[in-house]
Amino acid sequence: MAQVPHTAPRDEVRVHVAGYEGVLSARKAAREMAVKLGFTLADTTRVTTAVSEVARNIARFAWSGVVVLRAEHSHGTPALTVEAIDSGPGIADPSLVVEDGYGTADSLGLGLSSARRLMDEFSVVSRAGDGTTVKMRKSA
Amino acid sequence: MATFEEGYASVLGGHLRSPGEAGLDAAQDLGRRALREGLGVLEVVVTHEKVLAAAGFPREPVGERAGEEAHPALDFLLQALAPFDAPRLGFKEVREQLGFRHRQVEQLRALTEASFKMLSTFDPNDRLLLLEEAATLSLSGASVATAAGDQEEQELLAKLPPDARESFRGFKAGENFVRASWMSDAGPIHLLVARAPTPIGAGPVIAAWKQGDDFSDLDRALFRQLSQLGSVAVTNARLFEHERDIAVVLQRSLLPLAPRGAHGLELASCYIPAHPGASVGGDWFDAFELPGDRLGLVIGDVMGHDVLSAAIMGQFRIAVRAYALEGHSPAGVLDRVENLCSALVGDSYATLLYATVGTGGELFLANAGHPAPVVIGPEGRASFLEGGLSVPVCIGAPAPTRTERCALFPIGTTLFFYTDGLIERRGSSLDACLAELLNALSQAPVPLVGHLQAWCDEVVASLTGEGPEDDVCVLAVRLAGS
Ligand SMILES: Nc1ncnc2c1ncn2[C@@H]1O[C@H](COP(=O)(O)OP(=O)(O)OP(=O)(O)O)[C@@H](O)[C@H]1O
Ligand SMILES: [Mg+2]
Repeated sequence: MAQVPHTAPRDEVRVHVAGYEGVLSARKAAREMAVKLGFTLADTTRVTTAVSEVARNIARFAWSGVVVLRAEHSHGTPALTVEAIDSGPGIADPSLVVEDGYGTADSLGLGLSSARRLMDEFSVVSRAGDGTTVKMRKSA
Repeated sequence: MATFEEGYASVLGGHLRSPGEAGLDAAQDLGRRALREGLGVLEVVVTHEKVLAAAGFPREPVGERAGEEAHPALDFLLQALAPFDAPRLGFKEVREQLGFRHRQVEQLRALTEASFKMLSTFDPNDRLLLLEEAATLSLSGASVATAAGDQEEQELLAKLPPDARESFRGFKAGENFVRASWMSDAGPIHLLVARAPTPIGAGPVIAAWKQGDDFSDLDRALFRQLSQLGSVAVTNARLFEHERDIAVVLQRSLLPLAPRGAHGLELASCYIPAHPGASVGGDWFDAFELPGDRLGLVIGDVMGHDVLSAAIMGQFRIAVRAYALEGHSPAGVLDRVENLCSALVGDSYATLLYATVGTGGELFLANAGHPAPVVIGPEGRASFLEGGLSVPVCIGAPAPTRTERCALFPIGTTLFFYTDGLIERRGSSLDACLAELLNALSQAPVPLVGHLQAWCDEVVASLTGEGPEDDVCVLAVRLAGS
C-alpha cells in the first residue's frame, strides 16, 4: 500500500499501483472519495468499477503506475476526477481500445470501454513505448 | 471449474465473513464472468438471493446514503452487477448512433429523389425550384435560396439574412464555395453558398443558412452535391430549351401555309401531326396559283414520321412547287422531281399527287402512288378519282413512266385530297378503310358556298375521332363558279 495523503492537498489522493494490492487500494480510495462527495450507492459502485478497470490495466500491462483521485466542485456540483498514469509499453491506437472488444486474446476487452461509459468524461493519452494516461471524471 | 453459483457462494461467503475491497473486486470479476458466460442480470440476482438464503444470512436494512452502516451483501451484489451497466450505456450510445444514421439515410434519400424529380422536367426554372425544395428537405432546419442569371446577386441578397452581404462578396470574387458563421442578435448564424461550374457555363447560385448549431459535415457534403446536381440540371435544361427553340423554328418553316383560293375556286385544308411533341411530319400539301385561272394542288407523304422525313418533305415541297411554277404538266413535274430528288433524299421516297384545276372545272392529274382523291358531285355523290397512277417518286426504279389523267367537272363539285393517316385504322383492311371514307363523304352534307373549311374540319374530325395514329393532311377544292 502506497497511499500518501499527507504529501498531497487535502482533496487529492495518490495511490501507487503495482500488482493486485494496488488495485484494491485504488478501489478503496475511490469508494471513500465518492461517498464523501455524496455519490449515490449506484454511482459509487460505478466510479469504483471504472477505477478498478484502469488500475487493473496498470497492474497487468504496465506493471506499475499511479492513480490520482481528485475531489472537485464546479458550480456547486461535486465531481471526482481520476488520472491513471503509468510509464509502461503504451497503446498503439488509443481510439480503438476505448471501443468494445479490443482486448487481449484471453480478455473481454471491455475494461476501457466500460470505464468510458460508467464515467461522464473519459480520455486516453498514450504512445507506443511511452506510457499511458487515462483521465476520467464523473459528477455526483 | 466450479459452476458460477459455486463460485459466487464461495466468494460471497468470504466477503460476508470479512468485508473488504478484495471481496468486492472478486464480485466485479464474477460479474465479468457472468457476462462472458452469457448470463443475464436476472440470473446474477437469483444466484445472489439463493446463496444468501442457503447461508442463512439476515437481511440488511438499506437506505440510500446508508452512510456508515455496513451492507456488505448489497455492496457485493452491486459490484457483481456493475459490469452489466456498461453494456446498457453502450446500448444507449448505439441507439443514438442509429438515430444519426437514420437521419443520414433520410438526407441521402432526399438527395436521390431530388435528382429524379429534377430530371423529370425540362424547364430550367422548375428545376431550380426543385433544387430549392430538395435542399430544404435534405438540410433539415435550414433556409434555402437559389438564383440564376444576370440578376442573381440582387435576387439572392434579397432572400439572404441581412448581415450576409460580407460573405456573399467573398463569393463573388471567383470562389465556388463559401462557408461563414457570425453572431446575430438572435444567436449564431451559419451560411453556405455554392456555385458549381459546368463545362457549359456557370450554374445557379445556391445558399443555405440556419441559426443555432452549425451544419454537419454531411450537411456540407450534401450541399455541395446539390449545388453540382443543380448546376448540371439547370444548365442542361437551358441548353435543351435553346436547342428546342431552334428545332421549333425550323419545323414551323416546314409547316404548310393555309392556302388561298383563286377566283372561282374555294380551298380548305387540314394538318394534324400524329405526335403531339413534333409539330411536323412527312405529310404535306401545297396549293398555288398558276397562270390562266388555275390552281396547282399538291399532296404528298414522305416515308417515315421522324424529323428526317420532315426535312426531306421540305425538299420535295420546294421541288414540286418550283417545277410546277415553271409551267410543266403534272407528269412532267413528277419526272423532274424524281430526277432532282433521287440524289437528295437517300433511301427515302414519297407518294405524291400533283394536279392542276381550272375555274372551268378542267383537271389534269398525275399520281405517284398516292391514295386516289375523292370527287363529290354537286348533288353529293362521292367516288374515287382513279387514273394517272404510277409508282411513288424516288423508289429507285429506273426512269418510271408517269401517266396523266384529265377530267372535266361541273360547278359545285368538290375534290378531296388526303394522306393515308386519314383512313388507315389498325386492324382494318385498306379496302374497308377506303369504303369507310367514301361512305363518310357521301353521308356528309354537301359543303355550302363559303363554308368549305368548316365542312372539311367536320369530315376530318368524324374520321379521325380521338386522335390520328399517323400524320393527317387534307386538301379540298370546290368549283364555286364565278
Ligand atoms: N495501461 C496500459 N498500458 C498498456 N496497454 C494497455 C493499458 N491499458 C490497456 N491497454 C491495452 O488496451 C487493451 C484494452 O484494454 P481493456 O481494459 O479495454 O481490455 P483488456 O484489459 O484486454 O480486457 P478486460 O479489461 O476486459 O479484461 C488491452 O488489451 C491492452 O492491450
Ligand atoms: Mg482491462
